Order: sequence, then C-alpha cells, then structure tokens
Amino acid sequence: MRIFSFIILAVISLYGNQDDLDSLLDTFTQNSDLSHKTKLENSGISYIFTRQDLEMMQVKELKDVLKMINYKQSAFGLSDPNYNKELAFPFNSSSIRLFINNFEVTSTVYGSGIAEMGDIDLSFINHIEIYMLNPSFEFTTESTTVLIKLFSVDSKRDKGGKLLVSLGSRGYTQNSLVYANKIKDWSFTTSISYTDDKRKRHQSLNEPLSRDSVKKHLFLTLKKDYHSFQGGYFKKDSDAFINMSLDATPTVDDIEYQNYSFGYENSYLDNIRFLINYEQEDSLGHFADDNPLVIHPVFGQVRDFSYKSDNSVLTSEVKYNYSDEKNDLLVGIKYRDRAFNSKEASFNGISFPNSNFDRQTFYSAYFENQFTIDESNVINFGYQSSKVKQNGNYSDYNIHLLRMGYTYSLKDFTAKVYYFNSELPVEPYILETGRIDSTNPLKSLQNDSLALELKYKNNKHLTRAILSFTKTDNGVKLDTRTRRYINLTNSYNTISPTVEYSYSFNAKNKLLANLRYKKIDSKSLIDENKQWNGFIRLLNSYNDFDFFNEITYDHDGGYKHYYNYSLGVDYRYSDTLRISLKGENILDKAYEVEYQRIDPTRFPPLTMESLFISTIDRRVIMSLKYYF
Amino acid sequence: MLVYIVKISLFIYFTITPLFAYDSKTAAIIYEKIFKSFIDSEKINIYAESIDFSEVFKHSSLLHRVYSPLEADITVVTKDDEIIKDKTLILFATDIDLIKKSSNVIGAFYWDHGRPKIIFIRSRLKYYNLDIGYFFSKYIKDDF
Repeated sequence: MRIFSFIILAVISLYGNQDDLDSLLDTFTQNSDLSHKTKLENSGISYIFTRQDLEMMQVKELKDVLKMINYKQSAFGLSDPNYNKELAFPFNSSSIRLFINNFEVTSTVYGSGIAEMGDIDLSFINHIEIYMLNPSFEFTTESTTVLIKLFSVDSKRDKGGKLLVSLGSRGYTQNSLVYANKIKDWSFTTSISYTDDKRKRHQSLNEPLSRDSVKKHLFLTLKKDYHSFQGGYFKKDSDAFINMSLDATPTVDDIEYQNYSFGYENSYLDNIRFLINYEQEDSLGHFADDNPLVIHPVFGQVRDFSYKSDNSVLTSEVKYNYSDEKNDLLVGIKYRDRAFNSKEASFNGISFPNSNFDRQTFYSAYFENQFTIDESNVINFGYQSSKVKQNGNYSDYNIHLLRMGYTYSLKDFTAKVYYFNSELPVEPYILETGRIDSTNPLKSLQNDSLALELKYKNNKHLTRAILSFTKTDNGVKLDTRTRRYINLTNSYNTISPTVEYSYSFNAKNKLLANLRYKKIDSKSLIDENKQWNGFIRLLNSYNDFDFFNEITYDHDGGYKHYYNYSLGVDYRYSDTLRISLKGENILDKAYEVEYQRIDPTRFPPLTMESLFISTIDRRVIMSLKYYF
Repeated sequence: MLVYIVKISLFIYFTITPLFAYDSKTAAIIYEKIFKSFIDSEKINIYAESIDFSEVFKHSSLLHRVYSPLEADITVVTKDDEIIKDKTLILFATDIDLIKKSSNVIGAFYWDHGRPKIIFIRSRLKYYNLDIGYFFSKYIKDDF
C-alpha cells in the first residue's frame, strides 16, 4: 500500500498540470530559497534544507532533519548526557555545534548547546544549513564534526504573523506565534513558542519511565542598517527518563534548564564585523532511587543527588575580510569565557564541596584564504590557534585547527577534497568532576580527517558521493577500576562512505535517496562498530496539497534492522489557513537504543537484561497554521 | 574573481549569487511577463531606484532602465520614499503595503509569508485603461 502511494504520488508529480506562471513562481521560490544561503560550494560538505523543504516535511524540531547525518534522537552527540549508560564514553557535545543566525548556542557545562537546546521548536526558522567536518571559518572557527546553522525568518519575505497550533498523540501540543515586520528603518522578527512534549511511557521492573518535557522559547531579532541584535529565552522542564538509576527505576528524576541570551553584531565598516554574545544558563537537577545511584568513597551509598548551577558564556569576535581578484582572505580574533558562577550539589541531602575549577577561557586567532587559481580550481587554507586558560588544578594548554581544501569544478561536475587537523578541548563537565589524575592531565582529543566529495548533475539528476576518513587520538574514557577519566593509549579510525541521489521532477516535486556506511575501528575503545543508515524521501505537491513520504533505515551490525516511516499531508485551505497531518514512526520500528541495567543490591553488582527503547515515538500530529 | 567563484560555486544550486537575496534571473522573466501583459512593445522603459532591482535588468533584454520616471512606462517602487505622487505615472510595487499608500500603484509582485505573489487592483487598471488580458485575470482583486 505504501509503495502504491509512492507510485501514485510520483505519477501525480510527473503529470501534474501547472500553468506557466505558477510554475515560474515555484521556480522563483526554490531558487530564491537557495540563493538566500550563505553557502558556497568550496566552503565545505553541506546539506541544505530550504524553507520549502522544511514546510513540506513539516519540520518541528532538529531531529526531523538530522536523520540525514545518521542522527539518533536521544543522542545529540556521541552519546547523550542524560540517557547515556555507556559510562566508558564521556559525552562529547563540542563535536556538534549549533548556531541561530550568526550567534552560537553554547553551554558552559557541555561545550555545545546542542545537548540542552537541540530540540527547540523551529517555527521561526527559514532554512537550515548543515556542514560536515570543519567548514569555512566564515561559518565557524570552532573545531567540529557537524555544524548546524539555523536561519530565522525575516521581515523582507515574511512580513506579518503566523500562528501555529499542533496537537498530537498522548496529548502532545506545540503552539507558536511568529511575527515579523518593519517599522521605519527597523526590521524585527519575534517568536514565542510553547511545547508540551508528551512521550510514550516505558517500563522497567514495572516502574514507569518518563521523558516528557515542557519547553518555552522566546526569540527576537532587531536589525537596522549595520546593527543587528538577537535575544532569546528558553526554558525546559523535563523528566530525565532513566538518568542515574542503575536498574532504571528512578523515584525522582527532574531537570530544569533555563537559557537567556543576548547578542549584538555590527558591520559598520564594510570589511570588518564585530560580534558579542552573552548567554546565561541556570539549571537544576534532582535524581533519587530506592537503590544506590552511586557508591561514593565519602558519602557511601548515594540514593539522592541534586544540583543547582548558574553559569555563563561570553563570546566576542572581530573578523576582517579582504578580497581581490584571486584571494578571499579572512582574519579574526575571538574570545570566549565560560564561567561557572555558582554551583551547589548534594548527596543524600548533604552538600559536598565543589571542585575549584570554575573558569575556562579561550583566546583564538585565525586566518583563512581562498585562492582562485582559475575558473575551475580553487584552493583554501585556514589555521587557528587557541590558548585555553583554566583555573583550579588544571593547567593551560593550546589547541589548533588546520583546514586545507581544493575544489575542482566543471559545468556539471565538482570534486572537493579536504584535510583537517583539529583538536577538541576537554569538556568542562569532565573537568568539573575532578576525576582526573593530576599527575597525568587529560590531553585534548585530536582528529585527523580526510574527506572527498564528488558531485555530478545531469539535468534533473544529482548524484553525490562522500568519503571521509578520521583518525582520532587521545580519546577519553572512564577507567572503571580507578573511576578516573583517562586518555586512550591507542588511536581509533572512523571511515564513512555515503552515496546520495536526487531527482527533481519540478520545483516542488523531488525524490532524494541516501545510503551511508560507517565503521569505527579500535583496539582500545570498543569492539569494531559498523553502522548502515539510509533513507528515501519523496516531496510532492499537487494543487493545494503538499505530500511528504520518508523511510529511513538503520542497522548496526546486530540482528535487528530498523525502519522509520514518516508521512505528511499539508492542505492549503486558503491564503491564510493551512491544515496539516503528520505521522512519525508509523511502523513503530524506528532505531532502538540499548539502556544497560545493573542490580546494585547484589555484590558484585548483577548485570540485568538491557532495555531496548526506540528514541522516536510513534506519533500523529495535526497542525493548523493561520497567517495574518 | 566574482565570476570565477560564482561559476565554481553554483552549478548545483542553480543561479545563485551570494550578493542577492532572491533569484533575479527568474524574477526578470516574471517581471517581463507581468509588464508585457499590458504594454505591447519590444522595449519597456522602467524606472527603479532600488539597487536590488537593478539585478533584474541584467537578465532582461525587454526591460530597459531609464533614469527619470517621466521617461518610464512603469516605475517600480520598493519602499515608501520611492513613491511618486504624480497621478500620470503608473507605479508597480514589490511590497503589498505600498498598494495602500498610493492609489497609482496598480499592482505588486511581493513576498507573502515566504511565498511570491502577484496582485493587480481592478479599479486602478481601469483608471489607467490597462487591459492585462485573460492570462493574468486570476491575479486581479477588486480591492485590497
């Protein structure tokens, strides 16, 4: 039946009758969407989701688009800080960076804001760009493996308001109001959103496990001439699912997180851009279990753990750009200060002393040049050096980022090759635990990556192949014997080939297919890890209806094969009203994450049967959009 | 240099020019169709102050830029202070709000919540005695 619906929609797309001018308007929309991008081909390996893509796919959160990069919903980074039971692998969020317009969403504790704000409502977003490995310094100078850039709507194309009301399974609701306009010379965009994310309940030893959350988000941009202001407030109250409970039966598991941000950018001088951004984070956590959460050398069996923290991040940057016939040079300096302003933590209700580490400051300088040899050949080279200053018992160190690329382009064919050598700083939350051997300080994680991308476009067909190879040194793990974080003695390699094909029937009807293989090879970290991931996505439009069909496939070497089928219909009732229906994980066969359980009451602790829980719920959502 | 970069950068993503926030090539074709609907001429004289609009001229052999509204068949206005209060001039807007601000704006090609739209005002077409033909009739509104 599903295959049948695919075929029917494809036929509709091919023979759909649009008049000439409407078709031109569709083409204009699509091309303008793409021309709105800051992207240039030689900036890196990228994926673009246009406004039209986001609307047709009924994208509500980042998880709806990150399937393209083999993303698992509960794992924003290598693992998830809240759900991770693989204690040997510390959470490394700095490998995925998140930006809203030109301002990075950061985190004092985890490095990147993806862990805490990776599931914000995207109603206010116009388009999304995702860059793999380290893109041009024009986009970020932070060492990263995935860069996500969200671009908000603006008054030029979205003057007026949009009210969105969504209702879904189990009482899920998402309501938002986005309004953009121009008053005299000031243009502004504002958005307010409320999400009550009711999730499927799972059970462990007959105890319910909840990961419900309530999210509130306020966003504002103000622009005039060369001034640009951006502010935001985000609050999330969530049940922390299994969290610290070793046998997955928590009695209390609450997390409350708040983020206030304010940024300003000035481009008064043509070639110079100045940016400053301040983020304030407040968080609370309370976890309790009948059984011990941890065995502490001083507190003994800890059954109740709570924390409260008040942190901030200040970022400031100045960039200078110079261009001539052959060169496009970018030079800049950057300052970032992460401060743990106050923190309280208690075991069994008794406060314990904080570590004396409460500050991490980065001073960076960088340059990048894109040199155009001729019409077909462009090379680029970038280098950044950063001094990382830390207090407490931790010494200062330097990290660097080297980026080299070559782009060869013919009319229908592009080849790109990149080499990156980058270091990721040790995550602050690892330092904060104090579980580091002072005589053998942790070294920063180092990646050596080589990436190749080939693209061929033939009329409506686009084929792309990407091959990346990364050698990682100084991986971090928790030594289960000493309970201290240590560097791995051996490096590990990751190889990942991807093939992708897309066919555009016309501006609003597209087929996209992707298949990716990833193999992590290591003697000291884990057993060999192989993953297959792919998807087929069909976007169609017929008269006032937009259709979206997508199936993703995941296989990680075990005996299970996972399929996540999603579909959506969007009906344009009038110029001001749209009604849509979306189904996620319709087959209820989406990828499952293993949650290991231990019975801590036994000695030695007994390993229990693991829980396998899908990170994406089966869910139906109905939405109503009103434009005014 | 710019030509090189553009060529290298953009074959996948169609006619992108990073300097402009819209597809000026397709916009030129659409403007040609709109203006041709009521001006039957091999050359249409356009007066437009906006720098953005100058990109449209580069992609059109039909639309000819003039530097005085008095020489123009149509004046394209993109913001309030470009409106000329001379009832003899025919204005066409790129912002729907400008239709409210001047009665000699006969129509607009504009963005509405991320979608491009075309509108003509029936009474104003009648005032200027313009017949835009059947092809554009679905874009005519009685009032705004």
